Parts: sequence; structure tokens; C-alpha cells
Amino acid sequence: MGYELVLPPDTQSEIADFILNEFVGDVEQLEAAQAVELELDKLAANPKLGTSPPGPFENRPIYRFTIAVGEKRLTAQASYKVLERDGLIVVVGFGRVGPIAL
Amino acid sequence: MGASVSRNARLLKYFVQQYPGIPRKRLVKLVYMADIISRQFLGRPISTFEYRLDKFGPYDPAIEDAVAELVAAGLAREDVTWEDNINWKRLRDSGRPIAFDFTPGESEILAYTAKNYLNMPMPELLDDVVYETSPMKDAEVFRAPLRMELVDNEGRKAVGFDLEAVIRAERQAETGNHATLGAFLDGLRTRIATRHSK
Repeated sequence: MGYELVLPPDTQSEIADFILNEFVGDVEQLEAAQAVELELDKLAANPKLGTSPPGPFENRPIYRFTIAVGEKRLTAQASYKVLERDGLIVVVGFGRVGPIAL
Repeated sequence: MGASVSRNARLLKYFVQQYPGIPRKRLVKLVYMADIISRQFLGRPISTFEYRLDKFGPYDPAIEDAVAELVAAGLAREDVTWEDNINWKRLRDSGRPIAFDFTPGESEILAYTAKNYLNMPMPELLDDVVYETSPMKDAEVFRAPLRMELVDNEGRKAVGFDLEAVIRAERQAETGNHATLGAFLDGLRTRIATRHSK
């Protein structure tokens, strides 16, 4: 069974910043939004995609993926919590992995 | 309530109230590990202890002051016994509560430390955990200060997320303050598509 994926306001800002700052122009940004949706939908279908690092993030798995738009390929990641009882995945962090594009 | 003690004493109290009669050596290791993990994920320690390489591992004589503070405030009691040629110093909680003022990130780290190390067998805690930390591996001179800064932010860099920020987002979600992915992206797409028409 899939989960419903939800985003608190801070995560919404992080995803918006990623799409609007890393991609240029309407077309790229709309494609990036599509690609982010695709990856997070994969996560909603399979919450075991993420890995759990040792330490305080052990209960907050991290799912890394590549967003490819045109020639641009960026690695991004989402940290999340699975709320089994509510059937929810809450994405509690989102960001680009690696150096900031110049 | 109402007893006012230092942050270091409150940190000891956190562990003392979870482990009845906690031996001093274990208490010191727990506090040390909490500071290590806090440095790794928050970039700063929880206590102000300045650790040095001592006979039983990391130690700061100021820990004695923090224990004395707890005892003087009626928040704990120290029992000293001689068993099997070992001088055991055990700290027992008085049951009197205090208000903790740790940040959400610090609280998470303390809970993680307690969950993983409070009841771990001592040889394993020493050999597999404490002595494997970078400041202990780096230490060479007896009673020289440990270079605790060696671990600063290494956990945060490895995961790529700020623990306090992540917990803040979790708290937002816990109060029902969230949107579905679809609703959020629909809004963002509308924002992108219509920004030029304004």
C-alpha cells in the first residue's frame, strides 16, 4: 500500500528554493517540478528507498536521487519520517547534494 | 521544581534520572558521548566540560563540581562503596524534577545517547564507542586536552541536513501544518506559469 506524502511549510520552502534557484526559466523549472514529483511519488510507493545513517537521523531515512532536466543533472535528497498509523510520509528536509552551481 | 543548577549539572541529572544509581564512570562516558554527537550534528557541545585524556578515558575534573552541585541542591545523592577493590561512586536521583532547557536538537541527541549507551556493557561502550571517537584516537599525552573540535559538524556534513531544522519541520507536521505533495506542486506550477503575466 502506498503512503500519502506530505510537506510541512519549511520543506515546501526548501523544495521551492531548489526548483526556482537551481533551474532557470519556466520550462526548466516546470520540468524540475515534474521530476521532483516523480521521485517523491516513488518514495510514497516504497518508503524503504531511503537509507538510515547512524545517529539522530537513524529514524529519519534519507532518499537520494538525481534530477535530470535537459543537460543538467543534480543530486538531491529528502529526509523523511514514516507515520505508519496515519499512512503518511512526512518529508522533513529537502536539499541539493553537492556543490552549489556557479 | 525551582532548583537552579548549571547546565552541566542539568546534563548529569538527565542521565541520573534514567539510570538508578548510575556509576560515575558510565555517567562520564554518557556525557562525553552526548557532547561528541552534539558536536557532530549541531557543531557545538551540550556541556561546557573540557575533556582530557585520563586514567579511565575522557574526563574533566569539573564533573565533580557538577555532581556536588546536584547533591547540594537535593537533586541527587552520591553513594560511595568499596567493592572488589574498586571504589564505586554511584549517583542516585532524588526524584525531585527540574526543568530542562535543552533545544529540540539537543534533546534528540540526549535521547539517542540514552537509548544506545545507557545500558550498553561497559567494555563495549569503552572499546567500541568511546575509544573509537576521533578525539580519543588522536589523544597521546596523559591529561592533555582532547581535541573535541575534530568531530565538529562531521555528522551534519555526512547527512546534509541540519538537525534542528529537520525537527522544526517535524513539529510543524505534528500540528497538522502540512500540504500534500500534489497540492504544493500544483501551487508552485501555477506560481511559475503565471509570474510573467503579473
